[in-house]
Amino acid sequence: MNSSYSRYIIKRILVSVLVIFIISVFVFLLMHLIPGDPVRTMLGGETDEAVVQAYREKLHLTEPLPVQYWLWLKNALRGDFGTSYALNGQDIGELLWQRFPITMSLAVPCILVSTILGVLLGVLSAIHRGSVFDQIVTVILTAMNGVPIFWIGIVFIWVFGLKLRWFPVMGYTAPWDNFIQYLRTIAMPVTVMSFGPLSAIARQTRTNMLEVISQDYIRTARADGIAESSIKYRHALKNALIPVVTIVGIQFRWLVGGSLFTEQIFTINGIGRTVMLAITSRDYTMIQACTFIISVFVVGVNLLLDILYGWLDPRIRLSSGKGE
Amino acid sequence: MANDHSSNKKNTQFRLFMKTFFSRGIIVKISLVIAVIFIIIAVFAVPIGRFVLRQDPLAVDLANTFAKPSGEHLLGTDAYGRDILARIVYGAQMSLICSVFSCILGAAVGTLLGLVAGYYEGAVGTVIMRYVDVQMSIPSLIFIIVISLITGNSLFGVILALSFGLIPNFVRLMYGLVLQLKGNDYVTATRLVGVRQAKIMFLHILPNTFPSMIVMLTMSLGSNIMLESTLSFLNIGIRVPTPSWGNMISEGYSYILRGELMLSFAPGICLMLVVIAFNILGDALRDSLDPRLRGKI
Repeated sequence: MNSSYSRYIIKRILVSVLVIFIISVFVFLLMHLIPGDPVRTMLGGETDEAVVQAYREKLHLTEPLPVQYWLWLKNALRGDFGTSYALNGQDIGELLWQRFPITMSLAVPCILVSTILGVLLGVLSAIHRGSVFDQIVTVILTAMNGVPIFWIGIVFIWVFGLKLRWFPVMGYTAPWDNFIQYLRTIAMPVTVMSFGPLSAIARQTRTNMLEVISQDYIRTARADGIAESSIKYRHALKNALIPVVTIVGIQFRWLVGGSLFTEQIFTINGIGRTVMLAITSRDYTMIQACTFIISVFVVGVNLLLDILYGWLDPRIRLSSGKGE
Repeated sequence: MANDHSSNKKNTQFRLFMKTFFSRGIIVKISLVIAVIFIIIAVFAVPIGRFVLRQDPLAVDLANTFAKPSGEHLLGTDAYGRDILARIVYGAQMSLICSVFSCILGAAVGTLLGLVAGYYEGAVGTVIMRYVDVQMSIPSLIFIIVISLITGNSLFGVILALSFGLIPNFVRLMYGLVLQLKGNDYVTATRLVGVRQAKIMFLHILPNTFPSMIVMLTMSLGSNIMLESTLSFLNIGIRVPTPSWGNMISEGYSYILRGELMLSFAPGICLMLVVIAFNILGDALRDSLDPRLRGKI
């Protein structure tokens, strides 16, 4: 590890902390940006004024804004997000702690499947550019990118769940309880969730691969008489895969959004379904907590991928080491 | 003579454009047909509903629920006895209105911010780009949902929320393009001659970004049609009984178990076809207008 790389890492960490700070302000202000009185909306119009006032005080809404923010942030950093109104006073921090692994047990296989399949399809269609295979793959990938995920989920349920009865229509089993049952329950949700990321990763890989193949060092390798398959799979692939790291990061952010419907449609109690519940019942404290946790998580994943990216591609860390 | 020459050149350029645009074969033509039909139906939804279908999308007929397709109701009726086809036609209009206006708004704001960030760089640029970073680290769907909560459940609220979601894409695109264009000799020359900065930005740099912007706009049009239905599906977009493809799918979803497929499958297939068509057209436009963007958009 040389000094330019550690400088690059420190800079990325500082930027991430700044971004998290801004997100925290944004999420905090959310409560105050919503038109009308959030407590009244949450408790319903006919609630007694005294109860509303007590709730306001409980949420520190009577304090000046900066004090409120400080109290909220202090508690949030300790994992204390208050209690949920929609779930009868359940502790939100605890709830998210239970439900986060469920969403991850969908998201991680989804990323794995779409990265492996995406890279494979991307490389193959780049190498066989213009062939029938390439054309078919391109059309399928474009279609996958355009299919509304909530609708395709419904179609899957009808075809594979109700007609063919291959997979359970709803419910979830944790991998540590029964692994086979887990695989059966996540098969449909993961497939549906993989559509977007798979398409994005495959298209990016194909483009990178085509670009790399046309570069000088590949021509030199060819002129040197290195075998064509070795050029494609060893020299070109390595460099074509580096930018894919960034795409995987973007897809992670997208996946969290995708989990909103998949969990809703397949009745899985993960973070996505919790967000939906919070939104439909106007439980603002829970919306705040979920948005904050999810964003911090996304920033964290992207930070790790940035660090990995800098390690894989020295040009990145060298160019950001200078200046700024 | 000079005129002749330039019109010839334009002709060749146009021909080259058409050739690349349709080079993917039949699939682009089909997409173009789907997109045109969609736009015609959406624009003329009211006359089509009134004079061609002779059906009111809001007319409840409880004696005639879940009717099978017939001469009177071409796609049958839904749980309230409303004509499904008429609702799809009006839903198309909702989709187009939301998508077009949110694209215009989002593209305008995003382009302006990107232009300023790229042209001035420095502190202004940093602030704008950091804002983009922040918005991009919040999953866009959650961001859009939160915005639509703030703006309230109205057509305007949906449009505002969707346009917010587009801003970072346009800022990033413009920022990159402006940084590239700024280094060109012609920009330096105009600056040396003493042309005002605003004029350089809007008259000399902006027009050169149009090809990429058209590509981005086409793609955003498709993705915002999808996002509008997504919001409506989640019951935070267009509210029932006003028809939208999203809330039709959502309403029909609960009847799938009873075997009533038409309710959610018919609007779902329409939505899928239109979104895919716009994506394919966007791809084709990119290849013919600005191949450099391949892999970026």
